[in-house]
Amino acid sequence: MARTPPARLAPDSGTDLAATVRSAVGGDEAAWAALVHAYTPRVFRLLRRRCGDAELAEELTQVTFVKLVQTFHDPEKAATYREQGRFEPWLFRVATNALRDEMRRRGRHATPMDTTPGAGSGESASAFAAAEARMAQDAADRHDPSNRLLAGERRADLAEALGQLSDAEREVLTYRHAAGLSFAQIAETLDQPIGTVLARSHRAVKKLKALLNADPSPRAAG
Amino acid sequence: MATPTPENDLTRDPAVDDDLDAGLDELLDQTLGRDETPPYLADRIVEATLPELRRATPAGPVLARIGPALKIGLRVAAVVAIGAVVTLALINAPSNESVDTIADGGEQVAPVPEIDEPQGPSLAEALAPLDRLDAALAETTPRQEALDAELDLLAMRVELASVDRSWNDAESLLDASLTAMELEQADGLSSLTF
Repeated sequence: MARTPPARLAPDSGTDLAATVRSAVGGDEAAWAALVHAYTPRVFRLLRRRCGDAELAEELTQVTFVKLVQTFHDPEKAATYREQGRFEPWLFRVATNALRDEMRRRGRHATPMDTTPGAGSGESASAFAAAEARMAQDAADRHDPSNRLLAGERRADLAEALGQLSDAEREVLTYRHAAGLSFAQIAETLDQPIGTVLARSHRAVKKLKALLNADPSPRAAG
Repeated sequence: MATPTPENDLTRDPAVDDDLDAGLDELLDQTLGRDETPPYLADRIVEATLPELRRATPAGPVLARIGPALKIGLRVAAVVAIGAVVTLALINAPSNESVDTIADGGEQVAPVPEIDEPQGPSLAEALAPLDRLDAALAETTPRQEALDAELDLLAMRVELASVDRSWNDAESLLDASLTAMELEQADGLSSLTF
């Protein structure tokens, strides 16, 4: 199918984003296409990392944007996100809620969303580490063949270390590095105090450094 | 690294920077932030959501599909319609003339009363002194002089009636006076003529 590339939106341009959101809410199809193209990769990455299932992440990404456009029916909501510049936290909250609802619907524990301390231990942490290692290896296979082995090992090590973190700690890092949100936006998205988010990030990084320094290849030890 | 946003004021928070070195930051980005999006996922989402977008904002896409020439035509038609409505409203509007005055070339003048419209004191009030004088003459003067005086009084009554411009009243008054005089003539004063 022949596809025409839509107008691109620079996600780091606040002015462009506000204008684009305004236009999209007003029914501008080009602006809406630009929004979707700008945020689909970030929403997909977040959901992919949070659920560990590419197909489910793809489906939930679509659900997220459908819910987004449906809120345009509500002028009050649309005005809030258009005028107050809170579009991104709101978008990723919609994505997070879509994942949470799906996990609830499937009748299983939403392991990645479990934010209780210590949730990173045990079976769920092992499963997450294995999934992270597999994804890291996939990524290494796709990038830079000359450094593929080294980069792949480093990523796999990091994936193993991430598996040792609590889910709350891992969650902050995922929103930060997969979705590209600021700490303030993460706090708003997760409806948590900014101090809590910063403290979790602080602990997560300290743990990662300790794990990576303690054993250059935790995979081999595991 | 993952794309920061304009609101990313805390991205490099010192409390975190102390721990997060550039190497680990980049490694985290490479590990968590480089999952490839399925091909054409964004395009498929756009196609799936456009109908909903059109439903959410019905006026926008409809107007967008109307050609510029048709838009201009619609605006001209709207202006003509508004002008027609205003013109009709002005034509059918009631006059601004007040009850007390009328506009005459910008200068307000006193209203002209209608022919039968009463004005000032009533005719009966105006004629009351004449009636009293009439009775006094009849008692104090000889008959011929009294008749002459009554003719003068009759002329005054007619003049008062004409000033009043109530011709019906005047004619009635004249008839009544003539009848009275005829009765007096029949009573023996044959020398009186009009």
